[in-house]
Amino acid sequence: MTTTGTFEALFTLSVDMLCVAGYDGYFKRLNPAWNRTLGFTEAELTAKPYLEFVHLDDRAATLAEAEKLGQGETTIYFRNRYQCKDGTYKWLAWTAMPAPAEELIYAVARDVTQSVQAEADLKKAHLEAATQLASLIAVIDAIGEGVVLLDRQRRVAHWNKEASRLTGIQTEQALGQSMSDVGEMLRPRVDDYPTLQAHLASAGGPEFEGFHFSVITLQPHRELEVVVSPAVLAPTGDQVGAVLVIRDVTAAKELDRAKDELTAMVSHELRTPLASVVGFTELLLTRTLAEAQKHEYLETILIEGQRLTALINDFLDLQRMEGGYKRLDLAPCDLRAIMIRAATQMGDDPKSPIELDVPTDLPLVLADSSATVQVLTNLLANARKYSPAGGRIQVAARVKESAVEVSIHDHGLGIPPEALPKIFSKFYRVQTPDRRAIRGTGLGLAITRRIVEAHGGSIAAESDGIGKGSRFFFTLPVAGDAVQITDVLVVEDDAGFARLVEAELAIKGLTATWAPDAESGQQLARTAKPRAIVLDLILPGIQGEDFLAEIRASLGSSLPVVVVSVKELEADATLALRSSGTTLVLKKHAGAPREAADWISGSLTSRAVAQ
Amino acid sequence: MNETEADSNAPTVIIADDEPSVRLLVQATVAQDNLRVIEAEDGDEAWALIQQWRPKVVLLDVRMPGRTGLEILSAIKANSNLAETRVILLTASAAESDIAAGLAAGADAYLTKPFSPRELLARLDEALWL
Repeated sequence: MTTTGTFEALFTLSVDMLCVAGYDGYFKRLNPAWNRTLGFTEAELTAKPYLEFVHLDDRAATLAEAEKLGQGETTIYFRNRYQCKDGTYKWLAWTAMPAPAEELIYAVARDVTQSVQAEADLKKAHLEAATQLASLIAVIDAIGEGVVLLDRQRRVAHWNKEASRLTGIQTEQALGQSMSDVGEMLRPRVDDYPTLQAHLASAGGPEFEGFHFSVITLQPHRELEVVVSPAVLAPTGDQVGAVLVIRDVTAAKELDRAKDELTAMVSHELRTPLASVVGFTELLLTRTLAEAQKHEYLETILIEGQRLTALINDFLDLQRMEGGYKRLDLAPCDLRAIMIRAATQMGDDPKSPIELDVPTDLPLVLADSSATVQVLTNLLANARKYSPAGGRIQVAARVKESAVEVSIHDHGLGIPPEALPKIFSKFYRVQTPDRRAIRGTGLGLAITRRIVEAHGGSIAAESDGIGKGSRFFFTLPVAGDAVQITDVLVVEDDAGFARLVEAELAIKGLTATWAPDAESGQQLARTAKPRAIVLDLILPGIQGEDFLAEIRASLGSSLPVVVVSVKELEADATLALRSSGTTLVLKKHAGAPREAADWISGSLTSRAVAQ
Repeated sequence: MNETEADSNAPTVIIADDEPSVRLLVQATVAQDNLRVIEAEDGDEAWALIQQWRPKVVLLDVRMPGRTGLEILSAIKANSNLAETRVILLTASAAESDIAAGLAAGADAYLTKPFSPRELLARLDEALWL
């Protein structure tokens, strides 16, 4: 066989697609593999420029590759798509070299459609897996619980931020470590290292069932609950790793303990007075007693019964505060008026007089006036109670930053230093012989603190020790931004009625500011510049009539005023009120708030028209 | 300290409770018996009186200022001079753990508040004469 003949035979036999193409863009010769792969005959393939068989998207790249060949470069593994006779395309991978002298290109192509497809599928699968993993990691990191993933070799493959926070081990330190290494890192931080290590050994072991265990960490003290689950590959049932979920149960455990302790305390506090009620009643029923004795026993039963009642009331009060059932009706308040009211409520006691030292220019505070009175009377009652020998009780107020601080200073028994941090705790009572005869539920200061804190204020106590008196301080926020220019000032001590009037005024497009008493109303009348007033006649301090007289004197007779009252006024008084731009609405009927709003809206509109 | 009138041979009972009404109730309950009843207002006073009087029976409130009832109970059990002294705990905590702790520490009996005066007398009789 000649060399040419040999080449010719190999050319025909090759399973790869061999061809010769011209610089003119036409195939010159093609072997039979072309026909087998694409379905076109050699005649069909040589009839048109080869570019016409190339997929539209691949033509530019093919042209560029041909130009490179024209400049003498070789092509190694260039890929493009060729059309088949049935209209489908096949991926071809090319190796080609130019023969510049003859202006020809010698080329070998191979059908790589399947591997290109496989490659694309693989890429897609990789991307999907990476996307899934990324979302999974994002979920794991965002979760509020510590999550640790162990790989097939039971080494740490992932350690989320919460796991770092709870254990103090950073992700970088943990990754790749075995469970016993992790245990070793935790050694100085846990209270029971051997038990922890035993649990971690099971989690890091070959095959295991899901289980959970507790860890107590030191500095900071935390109680952790760890749930360990094997990661199982569904089709085979192989354990391919493990997941540890670490949960911080410190707060929940503390809450449980606090609840148990409270229950025990309440039970104890209820049983003690009940012992007298039950015991003396039995004695009265079963024994013949002298009148004096009967009287003494009955008196004890009464006192202890009253003590039970006070205890239940205080306890429910506290529960309402803590459970958030008791809502504060906040309004800009004149604290001075509230302090005077509380002092008046306490009554005169020449042995321990209450002395108020309150500036007249205090800013309004944002407070619930009746709750604030309760805070003051609680503290004043304590001041008197724990001053058995009497002594002045000095009450003062001053501005402190964006709050007003009230202080109550007595000259009584004082508070031992070790008791100071505990006196606001439930059921805590100072136990010194000098106050053994003084009764109390141990809840008053706890209630007082709750009220102050619900206002956003704070409370504290000071004492120079036993026999040196006590000083209590609490703060209430200055009303500040809560006092704005308003259309209508509602002076009304009933929060519910005031809110209804506000709602009716809002329907008319009018803004309103609520003042819970006349004293607050006087200040608001100056600062909030109302265009109308809704006024209740019966108020806690200064009465509505006096307030109205002052308003008329300062703001003139033209200001529209709605007087709401439960009491029928004398006919001529009503007339007098009417004649000076005032109307009367009786609170008794349900439409009273709307009636008031209608009248105000009407008189403000007619005024605007008149101008 | 509050002491009832009784003849000098009458057995001594100390009642330690910070609640005056409970002390009064104990006094009233045993008024018809020939007993010398001594009151203590807190744990420290109780311990001093117990050492001084070596009473036949001590009624101890568990939770009171100063030494607790359980602390005094342990001190009594550890003191050979007080081997004859019987201890009845008066507890306002009905928790079983407290009762168990009291009995484990060697209390002869316990009463949970509120208690029946008849029940108290029965426990006292057992402690005095058994």
